[in-house]
Amino acid sequence: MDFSLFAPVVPELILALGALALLMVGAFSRDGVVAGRVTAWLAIAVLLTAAVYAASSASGLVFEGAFVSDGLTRFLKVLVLIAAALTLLLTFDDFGRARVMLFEYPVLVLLATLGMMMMISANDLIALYLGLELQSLALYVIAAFKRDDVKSSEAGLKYFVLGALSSGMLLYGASMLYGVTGSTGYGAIATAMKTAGMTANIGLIVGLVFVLVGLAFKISAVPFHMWTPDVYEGAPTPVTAFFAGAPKVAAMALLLRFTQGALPDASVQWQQIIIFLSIASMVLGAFAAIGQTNIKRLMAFSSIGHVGFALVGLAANNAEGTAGVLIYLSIYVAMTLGTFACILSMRRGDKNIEDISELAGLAKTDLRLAAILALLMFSLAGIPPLAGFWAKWYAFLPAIKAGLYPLAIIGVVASVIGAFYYLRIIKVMFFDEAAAPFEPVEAKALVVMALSAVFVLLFVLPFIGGALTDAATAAAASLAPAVR
Amino acid sequence: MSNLLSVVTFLPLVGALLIAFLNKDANGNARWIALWTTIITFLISTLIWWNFDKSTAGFQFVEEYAWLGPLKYKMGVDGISMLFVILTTFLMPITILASWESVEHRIKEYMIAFLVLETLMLGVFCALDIVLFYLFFEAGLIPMFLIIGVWGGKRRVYASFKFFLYTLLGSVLMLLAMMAMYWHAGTTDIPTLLATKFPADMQWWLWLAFFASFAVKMPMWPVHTWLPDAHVEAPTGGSVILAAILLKMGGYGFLRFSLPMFPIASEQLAPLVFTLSIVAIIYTSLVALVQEDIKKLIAYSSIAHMGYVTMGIFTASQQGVDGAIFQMLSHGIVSAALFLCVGVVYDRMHTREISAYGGIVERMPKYAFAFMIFTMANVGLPGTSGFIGEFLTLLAAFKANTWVAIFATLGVILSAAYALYLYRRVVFGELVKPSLKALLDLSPREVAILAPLVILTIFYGVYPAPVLDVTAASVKNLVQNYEAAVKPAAALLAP
Amino acid sequence: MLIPLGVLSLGALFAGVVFTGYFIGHHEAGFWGASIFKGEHNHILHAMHEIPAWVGFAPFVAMLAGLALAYLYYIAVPSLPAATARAFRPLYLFFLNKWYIDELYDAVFVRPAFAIGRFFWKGGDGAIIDGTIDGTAAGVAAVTGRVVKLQTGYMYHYAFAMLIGVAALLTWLTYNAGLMGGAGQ
Repeated sequence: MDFSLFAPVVPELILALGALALLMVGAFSRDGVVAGRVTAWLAIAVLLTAAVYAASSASGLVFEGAFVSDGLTRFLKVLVLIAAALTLLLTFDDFGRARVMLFEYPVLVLLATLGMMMMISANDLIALYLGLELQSLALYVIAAFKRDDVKSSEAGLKYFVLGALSSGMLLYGASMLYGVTGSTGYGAIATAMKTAGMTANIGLIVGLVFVLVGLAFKISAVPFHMWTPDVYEGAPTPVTAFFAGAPKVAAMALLLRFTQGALPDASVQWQQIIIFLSIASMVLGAFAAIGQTNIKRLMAFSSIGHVGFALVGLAANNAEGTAGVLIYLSIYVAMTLGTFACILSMRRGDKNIEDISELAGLAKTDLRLAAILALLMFSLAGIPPLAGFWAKWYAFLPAIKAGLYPLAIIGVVASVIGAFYYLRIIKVMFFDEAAAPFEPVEAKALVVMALSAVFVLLFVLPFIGGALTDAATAAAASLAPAVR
Repeated sequence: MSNLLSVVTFLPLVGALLIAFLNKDANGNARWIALWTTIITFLISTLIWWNFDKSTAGFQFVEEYAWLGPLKYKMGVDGISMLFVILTTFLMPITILASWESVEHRIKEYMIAFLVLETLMLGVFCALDIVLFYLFFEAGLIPMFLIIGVWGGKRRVYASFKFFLYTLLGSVLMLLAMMAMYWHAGTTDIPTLLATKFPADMQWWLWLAFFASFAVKMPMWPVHTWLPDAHVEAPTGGSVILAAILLKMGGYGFLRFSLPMFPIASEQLAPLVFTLSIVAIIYTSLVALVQEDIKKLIAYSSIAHMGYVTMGIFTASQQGVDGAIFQMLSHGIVSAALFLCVGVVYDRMHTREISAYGGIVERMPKYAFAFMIFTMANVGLPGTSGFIGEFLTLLAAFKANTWVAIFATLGVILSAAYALYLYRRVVFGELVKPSLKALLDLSPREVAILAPLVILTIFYGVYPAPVLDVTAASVKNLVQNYEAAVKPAAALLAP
Repeated sequence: MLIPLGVLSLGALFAGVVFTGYFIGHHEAGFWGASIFKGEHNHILHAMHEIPAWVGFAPFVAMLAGLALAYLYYIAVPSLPAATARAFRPLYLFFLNKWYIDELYDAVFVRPAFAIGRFFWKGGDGAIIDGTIDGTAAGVAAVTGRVVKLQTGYMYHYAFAMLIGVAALLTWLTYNAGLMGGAGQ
């Protein structure tokens, strides 16, 4: 048997075997608490090892073309793996206090990440569905991981039921596409459409809409976003941090390759859908976030808005747009992780604080935490020279090239409205009278926070921002042939 | 030598970092570090001024490095930006000194905010890449937002949000315009863009987008209402910087982008600018007349004075542009001084209500003298720096459009009215209020702050040549290019 | 103080006598030079010394008359001023108040300027411009309130929203692609 066939899937194999091995470690250990901590550290090691391999994994199509590995997948996989590792790092202290630091959690995270890797590499509707479901099932479980907590259980259930609905729609759409084109492979679908000259076929449109709706649910684009605030609020905070990062990247990767790889000739149709989702998400994200008092709910609406901005790059449908999406996702993940590390540091005694008003006067009690959170808020608002500005720059630049002026104008106006609620948090921390102080920031959270803050602040330097944009541009180029 | 501009620009940032890594209680040190950083920055910038070649219109001290992808880190100054660089570095030590005692809490953070702000302001005037320009231009919102919000007055939250969101909304449209320019010209390099001829219909859109940003920053009527609020709530140092430098970014933007890059649109839309300028001059002067708060009055007078600047710029003539630049420089000195004067009495009385004062000349003769000089300069009295700019812009306006000049001259009368009325109510009259009886005159520190400004106000009033010489070549080049660009368009329109 | 005043008064009294010839006489052209611009046919400065002699003395006579009147009113009969003021009261008041020029200015310029200023401030800046801005902010808040209410927490509402989204997208795309029998491209 020729094992070189498996060269492109080495990172996935590492994750799969790692997950199984950790399951064994956990199952046969006596002390549950120790097992939880050990498996979590091991899981981080597995994720980082996989990231090292993913960064240099071989290019190629395997499994009858259902699985693709190229520059784009390498970029996204590294991003997903780092995000997963860092969120796992944030889990220890919080889960330890809640006495739920069990070995199942790291295993589930590994399995979810494996699903995401599949999603990123999916080049076939079946592979897409496999990856998506592996990821989703693991996520449903960890959303409800604090079993004794009513809100956590409710979050898991809601996510599951609505997720099942979206999966059903996606499957239905996929079957329609199969019916119209006679294939499930992206390449074959694209070829079939080209040869048949199919652009405005009712079956195609129905299939397209249903698949995109399924994916829109995963990235929580409006109006398929409604689960997001409830799940973000209800799920344990480290889990929310995980939800806000890696899965969004993976789902966006699906969207990128599905639209540009499988449906290049239906771009008129899917561009309209993306533009609609983008505008709806940016606007609703901006408006709804203003009304929030819970910082986790606020972050949910913030992530909805940011997905809208990232979709601006996709709507442009050019190579710069793809690069823009990649840059946006990288910066978004960095900012989100840092923000959640700050949110996890909002504690008094053993109790997590989630009310924005409790941040009052934080600059007086803990200037370091306040300064980092303020930096991240300015960045999320898109103020230069912070990374968040560059995210918007690289997302809107291709849209202007593609002539999508109304979309761009609505987008920037939404970003100004959105700036209000980020500013409000800064105002509470810096302008208001001090409330009771929080517990000191824990070391692991501080590491994540500091990494995020440094990234956000120093993105302007060529060796950070320049390196990332170059990498993203190169990665986007591997999708480009299909685009043209 | 070749990196002098970057050194000047980023030296304050280094000072800020130095303060940030000091001990927590080293507030006194923070003051001294900030003061010395700004003084050294000023000295280095005079070195640039000294070596500046007045005979050429091109950019000097140019530095260029690769940055992000197609974007370049490119800095340089011409005659126009040179002045603003000097103005900024000159005013910063004064601002720091002015905040020496009046800022009582979080001194360390205050000094850091001001030093960061200085870096960003200098960057705006030195940047030769539009994205770099935007970066500095927009990033300035962060420290200013904090300065107003943390060290401001009672309605500081409202004022800081208004300031931030107002200016942000103006700027994001400019950002989109910059993207469109990039795709059209294939570069973000300012010298190249200055030589690029954009199609006329595209110029319209670009002009309007840039106008949205600069008009808010300037500020022009009717998007000026953030300014009185921001001024009133900001601490003295914040008001000084806001009036003296931040407002000038709008005028600088018009000179650097709108006029030379979109000449056809500028020509066609000049009547709009004239109208708004006239309204600003008369409307805000009348509003200034009825203010009850000293700072608010000066804020409104700033808006009126900026009306002359926009009017002068869009006459697109040598006199008009010279006058506008001079007016900006003069206003930078005079408005800074006036806000410092307000700060002096505010520190003593903790009120800015005009009615709380009266007859303080009896207790504060030195103060009354300095305040008088600045009031006269604000009125535009010949012999003060305020006269030159107003006179030149009015002269240019008279050539461009007589009616514009006539209405603008009305504003001169009104400015005399509100400025002298203010001076009479604060300084003259009988000293009857018991709270004023124990007032102390200017301290040596305050004299040191105000004296250079008094000297400059009078010096530039009688001898404006040093300023006009520096700008001459660049302005001439600007006007010539403008006329060359506009003429063929006008010839096409003619039958 | 007295000595400089004395010197000045001497000058005031006799400078004219001494310098007549230079100011308006035969030597005026040499004295003024180009300091005073004159038209080509303008000889007024030269012509001034050719007027009849009584014209020159008229001011002196007027001064003497005034001196006499002042002596009468303020030294000889000090009650006269009050009596005169009573007799010509309206005229007296008119002169006393400087022809009411200040009041006229106040009514015509100052008060309207203040009124307009106050109107621009409260009406223009306050009500219209800031009203628009704060109104927009309030509008955003109002929209926010409604948007937040959409988030009911009921799963069937959420599922319903998704279905509406699907239906809307499908309708739009099929209509736009001209597949619904109606118009479209």
